[in-house]
Amino acid sequence: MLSTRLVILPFLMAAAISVAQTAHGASFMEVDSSLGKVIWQYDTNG
Amino acid sequence: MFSTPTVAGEVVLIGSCAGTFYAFDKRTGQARWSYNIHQDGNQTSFHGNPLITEQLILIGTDKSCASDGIGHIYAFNKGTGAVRWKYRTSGTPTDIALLRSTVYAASFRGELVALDIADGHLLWKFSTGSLNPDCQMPSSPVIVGDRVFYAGLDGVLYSFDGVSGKLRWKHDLGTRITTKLSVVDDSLYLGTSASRLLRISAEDGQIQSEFSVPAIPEGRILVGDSVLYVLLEDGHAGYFISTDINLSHILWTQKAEREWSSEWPRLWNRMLLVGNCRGEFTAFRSSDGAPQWSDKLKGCIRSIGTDGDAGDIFIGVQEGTVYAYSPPQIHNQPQGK
Repeated sequence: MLSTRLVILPFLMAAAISVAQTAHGASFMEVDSSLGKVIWQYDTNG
Repeated sequence: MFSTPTVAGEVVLIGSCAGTFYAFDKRTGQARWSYNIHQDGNQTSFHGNPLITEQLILIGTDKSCASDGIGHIYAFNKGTGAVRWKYRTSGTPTDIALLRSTVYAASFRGELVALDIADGHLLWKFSTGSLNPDCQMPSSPVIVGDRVFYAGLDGVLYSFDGVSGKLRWKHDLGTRITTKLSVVDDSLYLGTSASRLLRISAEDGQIQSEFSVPAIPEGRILVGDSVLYVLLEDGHAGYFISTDINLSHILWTQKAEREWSSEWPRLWNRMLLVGNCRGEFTAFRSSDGAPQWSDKLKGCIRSIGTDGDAGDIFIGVQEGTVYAYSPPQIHNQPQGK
């Protein structure tokens, strides 16, 4: 299982994304304990 | 993995750049069946998306623009993966379009073919005669009514009668067409290298509206509920915009530090999923473009498929890995007002 790195806003905003124009602005959210995860992966070699 | 992972019942279907088509169990990732195209000649890759009918899976193959390469259009048995028929081409990296009993696909060399879906025999063929020295990815044919539309590598948009192949009209746009064609009702949408989005009448080829955007539209324009979602690039930054379908104004814009590498945004649970070559993929809220969450995988993200709003996400990366990914659960999602 691949280790994944979840980034929740607003950290994402500073790290990777700059908002050029958003009518309503960035919002915060409540994220429960079930973070995103890789269920399976398959390497096709190309 | 440029081919979009496509869910059909309990399997997820994808063709690899290394030349094998897979039907994976969508829950476990076990390959139920696969087919290696190297046994059929000098071809290497799948690039287009599968077309799924009641009985068949249709998809094209190619060896990119290699002069000695070939390709095929395959029709696999949907349940077993057995080859029902295959039609040899000069390389078919596009999606397959279907109109009643005829399928359509295009090649790197500016050819459009129409085949009988029953046995794959050629019904008609058209060639733009244009060369492709820069190895541009050709646009997939699309269907409106009884017509098939093809955006040539020569910058000309063509309309054909789907049955006879007779040319109904053509429109020389005078610039390179940089996106695949998208359809809303009787209008065709495309982007050009002049950093413009165009809305064109399927009836007569006349431009209904056009619109300047901050960079060059790329990939495939996603049609939402009376809105369009488009990825743009300028060689440095990546843009993600939403416009109204009349191309009168931009609803929102997101600009990222690097270009997006996924072919098009995928709509999932009122969010839009896009990825880049660092393996980062982000979910933006479709209503206003506000970023919702992001995660990172290993590889350059090329394709994102979904299994409905409640299901997992399937992601293909250029290095050849397919991921089944369970997104984070978001509660009390704000309206952003």
